[in-house]
Amino acid sequence: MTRGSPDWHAGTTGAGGPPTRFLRVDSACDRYELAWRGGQRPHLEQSVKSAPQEHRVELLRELLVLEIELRFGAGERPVPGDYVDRFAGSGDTILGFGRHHTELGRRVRGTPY
Amino acid sequence: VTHWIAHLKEGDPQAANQLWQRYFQRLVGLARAKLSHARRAVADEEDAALSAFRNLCDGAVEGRFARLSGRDDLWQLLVMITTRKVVDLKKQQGRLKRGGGHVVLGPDGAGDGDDDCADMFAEVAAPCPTPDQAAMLAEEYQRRLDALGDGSLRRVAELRLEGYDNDEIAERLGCARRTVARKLEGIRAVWGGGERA
Repeated sequence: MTRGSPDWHAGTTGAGGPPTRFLRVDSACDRYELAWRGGQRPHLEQSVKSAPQEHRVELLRELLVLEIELRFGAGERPVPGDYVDRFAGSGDTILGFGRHHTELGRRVRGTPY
Repeated sequence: VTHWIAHLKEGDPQAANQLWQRYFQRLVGLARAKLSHARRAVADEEDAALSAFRNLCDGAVEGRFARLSGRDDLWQLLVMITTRKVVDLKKQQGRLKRGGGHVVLGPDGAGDGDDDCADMFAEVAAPCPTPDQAAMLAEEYQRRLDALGDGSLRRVAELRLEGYDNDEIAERLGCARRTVARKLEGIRAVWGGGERA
């Protein structure tokens, strides 16, 4: 497991094949990205709420980072303030946002990291 | 060999198997020789050879190697593909080193590109794994890919093994870099979970 990544095996049993927790989050993220690239602006909070409670933290973290990248790709310049109020109770996620925001911002300007 | 190449282009698995038996060990030896000064903690020569062979089979079926007709053409093509894989692996290892990974490189650092091509034929005689080892490796490669299913995880793993980095995979699949990173986490979870089991 890479640093900072969730334990996708947590709460799952059995061997072989991708862990259920990962599959649920991954497929939700894929749907979100597909909708975005299809011209929609899926509602991040709604996507999280529609997931089982036990997957919401990982899903929020993934969708947040994904959306930020997609927004940068669309020429937007998202800032932490776009999200802080919406996710005031998710301190860790917001901290993660700051890190990824900086990272992606550097990439957009062409500076390797 | 000419006969097998013609059948390989038609997607004949028996032809692929015959060529595999004939060339895989030599490719592993070539990759090992190319990696020997760069590698200290990661054994990737098999990955390079497997990936090169897979590229050959896919490309032949897809008609990408129109001039491929005889054994000399085939060997030159395999050497080119394998060398490219090795260069990509060295680049990856260089990135890992700079990123604080466990790989420690020699003084030649990341990929040295076309300079390696001059003496590559002399290196083909490098020690090779036994046929049993090669067969076990091939089975393990297939087992790991099969564990990922038929979807995007498998595709990302295949591209990664072919030497593409996250940005290149994202571009090829038309998805976000974060999506590639997430799927690589899933792949590690599957393969790491298998090792724990």
